[in-house]
Amino acid sequence: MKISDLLRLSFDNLKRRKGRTFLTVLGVIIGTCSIVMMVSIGVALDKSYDDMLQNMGDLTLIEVYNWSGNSDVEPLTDEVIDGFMAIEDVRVATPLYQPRYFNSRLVSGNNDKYRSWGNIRGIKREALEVYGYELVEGRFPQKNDKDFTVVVGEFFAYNFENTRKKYPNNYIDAIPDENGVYPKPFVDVFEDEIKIQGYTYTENGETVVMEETLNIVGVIKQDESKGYETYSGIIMDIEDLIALEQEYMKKNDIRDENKGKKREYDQALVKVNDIDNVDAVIETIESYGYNTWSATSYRNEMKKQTQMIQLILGGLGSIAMLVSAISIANTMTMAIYERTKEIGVMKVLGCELKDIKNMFLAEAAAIGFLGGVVGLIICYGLSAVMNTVGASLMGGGDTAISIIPLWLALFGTGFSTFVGIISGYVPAVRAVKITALSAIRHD
Amino acid sequence: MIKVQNLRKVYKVGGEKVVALDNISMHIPPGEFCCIVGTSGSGKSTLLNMLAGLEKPTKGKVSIAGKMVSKMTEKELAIFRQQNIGFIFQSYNLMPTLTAVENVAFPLMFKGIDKKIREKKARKMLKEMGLGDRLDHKPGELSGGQQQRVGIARAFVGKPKVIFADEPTGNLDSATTEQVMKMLLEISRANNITFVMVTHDPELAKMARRVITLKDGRIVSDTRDGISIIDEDLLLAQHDETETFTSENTEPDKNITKEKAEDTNDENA
Ligand SMILES: Nc1ncnc2c1ncn2[C@@H]1O[C@H](COP(=O)(O)OP(=O)(O)O)[C@@H](O)[C@H]1O
Ligand SMILES: [Mg+2]
Repeated sequence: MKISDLLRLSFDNLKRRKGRTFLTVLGVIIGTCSIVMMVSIGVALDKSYDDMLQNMGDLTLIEVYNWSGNSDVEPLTDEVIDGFMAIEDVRVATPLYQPRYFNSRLVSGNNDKYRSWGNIRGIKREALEVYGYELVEGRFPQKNDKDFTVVVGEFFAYNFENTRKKYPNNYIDAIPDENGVYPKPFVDVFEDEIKIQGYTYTENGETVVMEETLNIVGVIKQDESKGYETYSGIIMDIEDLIALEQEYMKKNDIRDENKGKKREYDQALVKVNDIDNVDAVIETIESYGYNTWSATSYRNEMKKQTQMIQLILGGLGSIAMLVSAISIANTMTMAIYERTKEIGVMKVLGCELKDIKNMFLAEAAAIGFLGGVVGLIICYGLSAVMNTVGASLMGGGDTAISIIPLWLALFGTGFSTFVGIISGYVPAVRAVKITALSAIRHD
Repeated sequence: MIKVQNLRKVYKVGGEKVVALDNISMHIPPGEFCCIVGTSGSGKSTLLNMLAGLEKPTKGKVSIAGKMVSKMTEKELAIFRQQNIGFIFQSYNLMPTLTAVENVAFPLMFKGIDKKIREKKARKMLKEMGLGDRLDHKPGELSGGQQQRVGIARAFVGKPKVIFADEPTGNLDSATTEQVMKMLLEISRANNITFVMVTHDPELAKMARRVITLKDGRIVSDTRDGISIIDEDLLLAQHDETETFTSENTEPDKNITKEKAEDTNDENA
């Protein structure tokens, strides 16, 4: 028997009992809706978590510390950190240096009238690019650039105060006008000379003890996930920063207790090539005895939670689907009782057993598929309503309450069809067992 | 075409045995029109059902076109019926949702024949049977006689080797009965189809060349053109019988059977 004929026969049979078919399909619609809606809520939850994490930090960045106090674990020296680079999937590892003894400020303009307190971050020059900073203007420092070649945060220039002016005119705020144009700051980072000064406090107030001119070659885009330095800080080569501190210490007669020893860092940063490899790299680093922190640790925890919630929601939805499966099985069984004679006649006329089975399976599958498709259309509607109502209740914001991705739509219809076939299986096998003699006996 | 050997059918009804058929042997050659006649309860339907493979015999063999129908599985039977057998029911048994054309084309659909082709054949068949103006009517819109003509067209459309019919005129008035009977005789002769039909009406049965009469589950007469052929037919039927059959046969009319069987065995030896 041709498939087209088989399907036509099945559809004709469904059409014969419109009322009953409708009710059964309705059951599947409800089942599909409850599963898809529940999962869609889970998906939305998952996505809102992911969005939240995006703002919490770069997911491919691992912070490494040595908090063990265990002498077996080597301190975070340059060699150790270079060693991290050898771990698979690590793109770059750099020490992070925060100066301990360095009171600094930034000055520019006549008589240093523009002043700022910049946050200085020291990382390896070659790590800058790989680390994921994005340039808005200029370029990254290169290996052969002179000392104190740096990049600065996007709003670095707006941090300068005009010490000659009074509040509120001493600062220019980085707030764009209605056309999206930012006001011109006091200093131009590329044109004006900007110096970094080390100072101490004396009876006369702040006394400058040292001064270096910065060579600013680039401005990087603000990125909350990376850190405050992208807003208004200075990102400097680690050797330059250490040199500055050393000089400052010498000028102020501060003894360097680490002199002659290998330099030890409090913190290192490791950048991994892909989110999915972060866990493996963390595991390796922790196996050496170091402590790590990464935004992915939250992510994994949250993923587990959302998966759990999704499972519970999906499970709740499945109950409705189970009921509809029973209803399909019931409908098919009834259909077989009603059509016992007809099936007998078909057998006498030479219909093969597999065709009889397939005919009933196709009917059950059609009920499942139809319910799935209609259910899915309703789901899209429900989802849109929920998101609009939800957004207005939560005062705007673009966090969706329900998201139906393509895979869920496919899964929804696929699953309902599958449930149809499964529910129709036992009745179909029963139909096959009806004897040809029923054609005559049921007179 | 159809060979039956020592067929026996026993029904168990509430612990009691009902012997519906016993010691039935016969041979229906290709193209013969055969009527099985007898009073109600004589076992006609039971015999026909077993010939058509709708029921399994308790004992004995049925073969059609050399194929042992009584040994086939359900699956094999379905395909065998599809390829070789047509069936006409007393109560027509047309599909209520299908038109006359679709009903006639129905068995061809099981064979996997294209819709266009099979409906063309069905239309031609129905026109030949005088139903050219009822092609797209549903069974509910047709009279009993018309419905049965659709049923007949459905049996003949695939040009099967054998057609079975259980009281095909049972629900029709006498005028229509005669009309339908003539039609059956004519089409099966024209197409050289072996036709086996059950009826309780001896007058109707007389229209057939071959008439087998049953009584209480046994053949009491078997005639071709009014001449008894019971002996020669048994001879033919037992041609390839085994010894087990002979030894098991302890029924009253064993004398004839046994003699013939022994003759056969001697010949073979
Ligand atoms: N399925 C069955 N179960 C029990 N007895 C049956 C069954 N079918 C037929 N019989 C019995 O077998 C005998 C022959 O029946 P049947 O072949 O229908 O007779 P006919 O068709 O000649 O009227 C009857 O006594 C009937 O009661
Ligand atoms: Mg009968």
